Amino acid sequence: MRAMMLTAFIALTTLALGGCTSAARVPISLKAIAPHTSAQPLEGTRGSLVALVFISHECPIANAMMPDIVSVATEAHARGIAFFAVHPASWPTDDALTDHARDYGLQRTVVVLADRGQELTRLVGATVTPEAALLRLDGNGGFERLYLGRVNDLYAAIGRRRANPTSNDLLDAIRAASEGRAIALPQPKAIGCFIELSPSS
Amino acid sequence: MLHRAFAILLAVNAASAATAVDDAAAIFTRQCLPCHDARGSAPLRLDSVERIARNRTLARMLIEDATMPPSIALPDAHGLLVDRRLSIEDRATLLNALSSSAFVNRAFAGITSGAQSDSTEPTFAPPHGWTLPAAGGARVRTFMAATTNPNPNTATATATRVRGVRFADLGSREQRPIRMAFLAADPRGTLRMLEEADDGPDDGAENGGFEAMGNVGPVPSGALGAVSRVRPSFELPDGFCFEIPVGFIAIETLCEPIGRQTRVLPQLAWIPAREGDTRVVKAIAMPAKRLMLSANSCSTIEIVHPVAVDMDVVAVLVKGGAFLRSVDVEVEVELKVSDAGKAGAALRTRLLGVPDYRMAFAEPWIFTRPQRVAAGATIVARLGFDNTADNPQQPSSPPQDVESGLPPLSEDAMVVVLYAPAAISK
Repeated sequence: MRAMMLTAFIALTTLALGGCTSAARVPISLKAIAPHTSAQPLEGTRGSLVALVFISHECPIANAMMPDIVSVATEAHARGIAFFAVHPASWPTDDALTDHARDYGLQRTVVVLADRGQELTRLVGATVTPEAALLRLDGNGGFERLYLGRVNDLYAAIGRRRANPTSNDLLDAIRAASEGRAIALPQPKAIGCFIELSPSS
Repeated sequence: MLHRAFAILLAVNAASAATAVDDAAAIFTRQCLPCHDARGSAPLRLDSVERIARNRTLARMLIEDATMPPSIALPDAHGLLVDRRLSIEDRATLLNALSSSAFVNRAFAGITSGAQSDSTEPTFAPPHGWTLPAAGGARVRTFMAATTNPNPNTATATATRVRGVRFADLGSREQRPIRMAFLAADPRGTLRMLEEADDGPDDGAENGGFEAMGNVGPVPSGALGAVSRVRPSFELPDGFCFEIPVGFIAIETLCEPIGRQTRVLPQLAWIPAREGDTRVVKAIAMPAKRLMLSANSCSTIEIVHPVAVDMDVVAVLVKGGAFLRSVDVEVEVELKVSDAGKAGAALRTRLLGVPDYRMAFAEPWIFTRPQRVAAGATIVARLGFDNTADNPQQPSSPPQDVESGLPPLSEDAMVVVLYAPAAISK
């Protein structure tokens, strides 16, 4: 009981101090979608940065942002930051995700992962698609979450789409983190399709 | 005793909750499925219990805040406009059914794909499609299509009559980026010449149609009706018809990029006129001319049209882009001095009110019964524009001056009133 209370206290204290969380190593089952094979976004050297964007091949808002996501991924790669697109659902087949990656031009710049057990999704705290996270790895399978929020403001609300985004929040976070600057607060909430978490996972 | 009464109350509540959940499928089938099935016009399919389950929270949120079902026009006092808004009871029933996975599985188990399918063979379509870029704002593209005769019984040598128009085969990818399509005749071939002159870039992409509005002189695009994602079928009230000239029809489309290159090809089908549909509908164009929206400002533009003959208004169409925020169309009748006690007073009747215009949810607003407007009255359209950073669809940061022109960075706004002259009583 005391241990549980201590864990809860640490978690709440961590959340109160800037909204970042740390996670210890937990087994995560992910599948890389062809042509990629690397499926371990949390395995990297201590201090390295990893960008994740949670997407759904059925979500029109996530799909509308794919060109922007590819563009951010290109700059992330140039800065030495690994970039992953994560499908947080159990039901899409590998073929459906491969077709989607091809149709939206993800294959060259983005490693696409299927998080069928939603373990990574829960660990990072993503709740909608598209939602972006920027993590700093601890070299031991854990991470510090530096950013969780929208990719950009292409959508002000459901049914309210701009011609072009006027703020590129994920890109700003990537630039700030890679240059050692603080990431701007507050981190804008993502707008999109909710991720339905499976009760069994 | 008290425990027993409480147990009975619980049982009654559980039974009524179960009934409410069971009612949800019928409400969903009536209010949501027509657009959200496999061949529907909405971008998100919800045509099986599995699809509803994986979008349960989103659906619940959008129903709760009244974004869905989409209905951006104010309900009019006489019930003349179709109002898709849910009743309080129906909303509560749907929200209850979407409140848990178990309820979703119970309520929507019978929902099947294709139940609402309304696929039609196209009766007219342009010969070539156009490749819409993956990103950027909404774009206007006008296509020319040869008309075919939907009803030989009502055709003359120069024209044929139709009751309306609908998107054909909404399941096709080529129609999905189209948010709205406005139809107009091209009697002098002006638009065909424009199309032939538009070569477009030689980049290998399909290049059908041309980048311009589908207006010819005083005839606005929309004069022969319009369809949208929210209303994929446009049908005039009983007794009215469009007269479609033999030749070519201009189809002005407003398309929104969907994240990958897409082929745009509007495929449409006429709805043939019936025997009694003899009153030919015409169009009044009310454009916002020489629009100039200064950066960081809001403005309202008033467009006035004096009515010369008694008429029955059957529909109001609105064309607008990212800067149009509100629309108000009224009929004003100036009162005689004796009526109001002072000169200059006017009786106002609202034809259409859209306080929060959203291009994505726009539709042709068709009256279930025609609205009589007497000669001497004035139709007044007030269009509210927002070119500030607070406009959630503002495309520029910081806001820039905006002039009349094609979207997304310019604004073309127009109200089109469709009417038929009132029948002359003998």
